[in-house]
Amino acid sequence: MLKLDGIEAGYGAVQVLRGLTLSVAAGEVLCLMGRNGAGKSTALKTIMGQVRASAGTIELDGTRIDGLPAHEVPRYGIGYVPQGRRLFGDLTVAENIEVGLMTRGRGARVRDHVLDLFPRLRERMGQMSRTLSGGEQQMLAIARALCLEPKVLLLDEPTEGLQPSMIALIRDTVVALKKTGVATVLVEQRVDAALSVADRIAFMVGGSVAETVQVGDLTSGAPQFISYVGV
Amino acid sequence: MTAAVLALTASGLSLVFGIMRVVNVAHGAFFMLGAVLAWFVSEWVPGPAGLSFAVALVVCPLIVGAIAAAADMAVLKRLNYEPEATIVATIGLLYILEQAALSFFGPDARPVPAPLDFRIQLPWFGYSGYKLAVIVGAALVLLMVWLILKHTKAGLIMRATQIDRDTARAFGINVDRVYAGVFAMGAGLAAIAAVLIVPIQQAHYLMGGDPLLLSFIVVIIGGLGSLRGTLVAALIIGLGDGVISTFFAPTLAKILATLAVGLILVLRPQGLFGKRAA
Repeated sequence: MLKLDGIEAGYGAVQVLRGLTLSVAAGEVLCLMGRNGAGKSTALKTIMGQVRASAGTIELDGTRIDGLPAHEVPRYGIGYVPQGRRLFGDLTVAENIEVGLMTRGRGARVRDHVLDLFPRLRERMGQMSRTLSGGEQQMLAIARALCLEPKVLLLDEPTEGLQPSMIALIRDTVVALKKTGVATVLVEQRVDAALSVADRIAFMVGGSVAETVQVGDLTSGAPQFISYVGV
Repeated sequence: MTAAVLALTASGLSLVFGIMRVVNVAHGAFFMLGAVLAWFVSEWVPGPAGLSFAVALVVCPLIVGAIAAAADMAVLKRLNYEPEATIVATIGLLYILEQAALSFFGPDARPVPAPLDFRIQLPWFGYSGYKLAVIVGAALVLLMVWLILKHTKAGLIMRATQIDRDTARAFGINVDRVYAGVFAMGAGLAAIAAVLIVPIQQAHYLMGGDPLLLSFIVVIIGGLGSLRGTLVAALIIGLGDGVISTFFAPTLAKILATLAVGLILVLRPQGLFGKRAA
């Protein structure tokens, strides 16, 4: 479904991604793990067109999307939950959801479906999103991305700073999406969270994938976690 | 009336800064262009003054908005909306527009007939009916701007872009198009203000200086990017300017307004209603 091949990208003179190659299929969860600076978040930003690839290709269902303006990428069905949530803080919950719905012209059916997934948001529709708790903000960030009815969902450290119940809710959501055929690329630092939802884990070092392993072949004490993530 | 027109002009400047983070030094030139175009319309459209005024009220903001949008796409976008670079660029734009007006319009001040000519006579004083109409017109336009920003899809897109343009792009918002639209809207508001006031002030190619200065005073006092702050500050500065100019001297009014800006910058740099930068 989503395929990156030989991607080179960075910020000005600083090159971060060096020949990044990876793919994720429909209904699959691929987890990107690695130390700080390995290029995990940059990989997601490059898929979204926010960081320009200087070489390589990105294909979604066989269509090249690497040359598209950043605002056209989500219209192909790629939902993005950035690190730190990046909600529109001075907009209400309802308005944040409305922005998500507008992206691909979705309406009340999708809104109701998304709010059914996160009923707590339904009670907060008129509230400014910056006043939500951390967990509720993450729910809203995911809900906003799901308003696109994405084929591919990019999640950048969605469990960061959240309590266990919220982490479980996010895990259940990702598992439910997987069953509907959504391909997910998850950036995650927590080994237990990665092992509980991912099908494969791609360990990144220096802007490229050093090793990709099926989750069934890993345990929480696997040597890859020590050498690539440092935990 | 000064307060109403000033609120209209300053809200355009505030809108552009609030959403695009661009300090538009050419805002006064867009105001001037609105007035100059209103004069051309009054010359070219036959019939009663009311008709040419109505045409000017529609056509001038559209033309000025189109020029602003073109300037945004040709200049500001290429500068990636860098704050310092856009200040220099809009100074250049100011001179280009003023010299263009001088070339095509000439150096003379030219009158535009008022569409209404009646006076409201109260027992203790009289007031121009046209000035009253300007106040109502400006208030209606400002109400429309507020409704657009708060209750329309376009307004939601503008506010989302204002908060975080990268995330806005991740949700399909064409930020370049939003910026061009906002720059056009800001210039269009200045042009509407100019069309409303030109029957009282006359059109002149250098008439944009005062509105620009007063608009900056208003948005600094009110808080850059805050529409509510802009309205409150316009009311304070506009009424203050009128009263002090009438009973003392116009220069004293400008001195006091500038002093108020100085005090605000020292005591509350974000303005009365602005938000402190994170």
